[in-house]
Amino acid sequence: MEQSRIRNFSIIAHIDHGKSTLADRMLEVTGAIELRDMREQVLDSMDLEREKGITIKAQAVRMPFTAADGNQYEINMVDTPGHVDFTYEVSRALAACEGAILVVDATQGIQAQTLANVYLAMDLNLKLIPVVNKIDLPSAEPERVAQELIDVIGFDPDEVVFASAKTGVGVTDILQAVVERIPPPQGDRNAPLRAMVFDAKYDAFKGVLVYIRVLEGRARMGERMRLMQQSARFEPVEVGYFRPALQKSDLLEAGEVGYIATGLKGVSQSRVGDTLTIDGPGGATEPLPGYQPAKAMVFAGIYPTDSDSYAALRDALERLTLNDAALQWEPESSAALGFGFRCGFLGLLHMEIVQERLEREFDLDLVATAPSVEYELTTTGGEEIRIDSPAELLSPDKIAEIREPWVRVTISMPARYIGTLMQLVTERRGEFDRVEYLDHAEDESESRVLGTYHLPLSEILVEFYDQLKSRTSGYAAMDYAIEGYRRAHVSRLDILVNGESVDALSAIVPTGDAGPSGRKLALKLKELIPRQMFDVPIQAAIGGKVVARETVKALRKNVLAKCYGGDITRKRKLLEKQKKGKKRMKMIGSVEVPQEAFMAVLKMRD
Amino acid sequence: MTTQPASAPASTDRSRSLALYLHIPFCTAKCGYCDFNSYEGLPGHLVADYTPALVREMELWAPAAKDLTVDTVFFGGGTPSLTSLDDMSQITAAIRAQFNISPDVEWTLEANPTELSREHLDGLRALGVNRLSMGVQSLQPEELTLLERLHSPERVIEAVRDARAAGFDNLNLDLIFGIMGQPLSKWQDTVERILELRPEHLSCYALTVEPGTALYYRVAKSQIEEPDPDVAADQYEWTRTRLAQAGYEQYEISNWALPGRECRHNLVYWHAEPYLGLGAGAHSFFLGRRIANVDAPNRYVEAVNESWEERQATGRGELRQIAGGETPDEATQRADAIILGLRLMRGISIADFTERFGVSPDDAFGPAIAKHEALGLLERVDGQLRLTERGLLLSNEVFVDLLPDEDDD
Repeated sequence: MEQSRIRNFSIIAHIDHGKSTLADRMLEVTGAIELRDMREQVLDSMDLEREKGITIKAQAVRMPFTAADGNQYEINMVDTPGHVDFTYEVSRALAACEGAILVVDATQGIQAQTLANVYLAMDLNLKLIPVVNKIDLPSAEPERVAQELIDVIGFDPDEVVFASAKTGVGVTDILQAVVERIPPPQGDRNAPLRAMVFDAKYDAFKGVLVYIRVLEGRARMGERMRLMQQSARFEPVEVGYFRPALQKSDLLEAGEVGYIATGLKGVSQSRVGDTLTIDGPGGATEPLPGYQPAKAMVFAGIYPTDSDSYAALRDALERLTLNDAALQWEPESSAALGFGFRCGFLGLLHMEIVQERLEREFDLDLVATAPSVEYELTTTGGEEIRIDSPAELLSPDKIAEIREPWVRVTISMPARYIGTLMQLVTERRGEFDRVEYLDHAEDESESRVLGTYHLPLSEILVEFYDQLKSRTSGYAAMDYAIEGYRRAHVSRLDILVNGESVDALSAIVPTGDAGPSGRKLALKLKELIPRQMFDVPIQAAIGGKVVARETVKALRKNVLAKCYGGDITRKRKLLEKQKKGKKRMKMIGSVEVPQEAFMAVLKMRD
Repeated sequence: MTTQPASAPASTDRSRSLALYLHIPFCTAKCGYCDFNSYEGLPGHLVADYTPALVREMELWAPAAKDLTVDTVFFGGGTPSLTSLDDMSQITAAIRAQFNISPDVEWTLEANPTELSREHLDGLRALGVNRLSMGVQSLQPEELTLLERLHSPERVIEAVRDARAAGFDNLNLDLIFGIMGQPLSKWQDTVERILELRPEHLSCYALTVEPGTALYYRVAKSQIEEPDPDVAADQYEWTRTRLAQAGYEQYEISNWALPGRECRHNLVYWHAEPYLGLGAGAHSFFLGRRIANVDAPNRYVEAVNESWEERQATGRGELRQIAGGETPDEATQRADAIILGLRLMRGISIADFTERFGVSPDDAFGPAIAKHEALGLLERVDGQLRLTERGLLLSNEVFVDLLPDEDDD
């Protein structure tokens, strides 16, 4: 298709604002997908994505659309992952487009995270089409939300499209706006090939599929190619586009979106943002700008509950890494948990997704330790080291300085919660930066504001999001971005269970708060560790000094009731259920410790 | 293996004996803690159809039991004392017609004190019932209300007096301890007053809040507290001491009897010997198989009738009332034998177990036995392996480690 007839766009929306439904509706209206193949969230192919209502992997689809001018257009929609952990991935998906549809819920208004993505799109010079969605709902306030879009982002009133993805109202208007307002791509098709990878996926038969936007030149079958950043070379197994199922076409030209099956074994060789070109004299010399290597922000140990499953866990991590280039891992051992892996994640959601996929798709029983950030340490000897686990923290006399990562957090909320937020941020060692008004309601407290704060990253890992939601009755939404490192005053809190120090339960806590933290952690562990055959003392210690002690009293009664009419099979089943519960626990010495206990440090503030 | 299943006991005599269980699934009102196969308010015609179905089920099984002698009969429920004397006389006549009954048969019927009249007791005694097991549960009015029992403490005293007068000299009373909010003193009061009645047998069960019961939902909704396991443990320990003082011998985790008055029927379960269960939801361990009948009384009646009519017409007929069953493999048989046997105070005979399975308990369960001996939950005394005093209330901790390994989960 000639470039003047191609349009590439992305959808920016907050979770639940209707992105997936709108995408579904567009596929129906354009006939890109047969009705009989239609199901909800058709682009979200993972079970987890459907359950959580989020997009984990990016997706793309090509739709034919006959516009009002009577011409047939090729419209490519690039779906983006919808969570703060995946900001870089979102930026690359946006970079594959000339425009974006900004979808805002008519009952909710703009959220912090949406705004963050709008700024990303503006930085990339994307043409934005504002859409007020869900206008069919009784509680919808389309005019107020439209005004918010005009005031905050600076749209003209006549730019706003009103729609209901659910009923289909306005969907054709949106497609028409895409054709009219978003500029066509303009890459030189005769230049050396440069295509940007915006996602990658492993296919057991075709190897790694890279999802690409061709910016210049042509990608065709039969030519050897290479990924410039990762220096991976291959001859394509297949070239094609998305329908959204894979459709072979053998050629992709500048301006088009599609995929290349590389035959490569593992997506670690195909980082998002990489540049694809021809391998050899016809290839480009300069990669595309904007590439960033994956950077893990959150680290945790993942161990099999049953040490016999170590090899199975390693295989599972290898298989997951085929599809998830951002997941990092290396072998680690713990005196308490045995052999496992230290894993690095983009954020907490990413960690949660990886853990759930390991347990579900590979049927593993896992213990994950509490997530930690990466600290920078200067030793008294002047050495610089980085640590991402409490176990690695040196004793205080060997540390000259310790620094921790800080984040800039933006939170959108009604103005009446400004004070509540101030309190939450202060409790967590944070700082207030500024508050901007997004609109001006008659009742000042109803106006929506965008607050900016600075906090240690470690503080937002610990149930910050849940607290934010509960203290604002769900009205607040947040986004965060890493800012850099600041000096920290932290100590390691050690936990002894039954007299033995358990490395996997250690935590890094603010020094000033270490005593109370120790007491809270010991108390929480007392709640989480079930009663055993003997008294189990739990102690919290800082630098060898015990600051708290609790005791899990010995269990006295675990007995079956009346055996009814000789139903032995049923009694056996009850026992088997108990046995399964025990199997999911980790033996620390002779103490059975449930998985949740290793996350106790996250629950300490309850 | 297939012809002489897990029953193979030490004495050859017992290999020819059979225990008979009959399930009566009807109740006036379902108790809040009960998760047994019992129903309140079933239509009258179903209750009327149930007795003929039981009789027909006996006819279906009788050929398979023709060489065996029935040593114990047990009517359980439900509330078997609700069954009319007419129906009872049909059922007992059929039992005598279809099975060989031992002259010293132990014949138990579970009874509810609520509607147990002197006339009914006389009738039962005349039909050959010689042991009554009465669901007392408590003598505290507030506890009876909490458990949704319909009778008063006074009714219990009267019912026991009437049973004695009717000639029942073998009486069991069921009690429940570990009730939420029940202090040790209340339990002690119940036990002391029960001891004044001098029953031959006492069963004391800790209350278990079973999923699916009314009690479970009340606890889940925080309308009432959960039972306190430590209070239950205190009550249990006090009970063991007190009943021993009163001349009762504890022979199983939850059962006490005056000398020679152990429940022979329940011993069959714990010895893993064969029993044939008849009625809706009844369980059998017969011809080496564990079998369960369908639970719903209407489906049970239909299934038995179809099987019986087919048998009449063709001389053959599958047993349609059977909902499921398993033939325990060797590992499961060993596990069942040791788990059931350890419920008894005397435990299991190491020599008998070794003779029966060709492998000693230590070879079959070595690490688990060693672990629990070290923890002080198991002990060996005079060639017997048994739970320690502390192990009685923690028996599940031992049993879970004795289950056969499942590789397919």
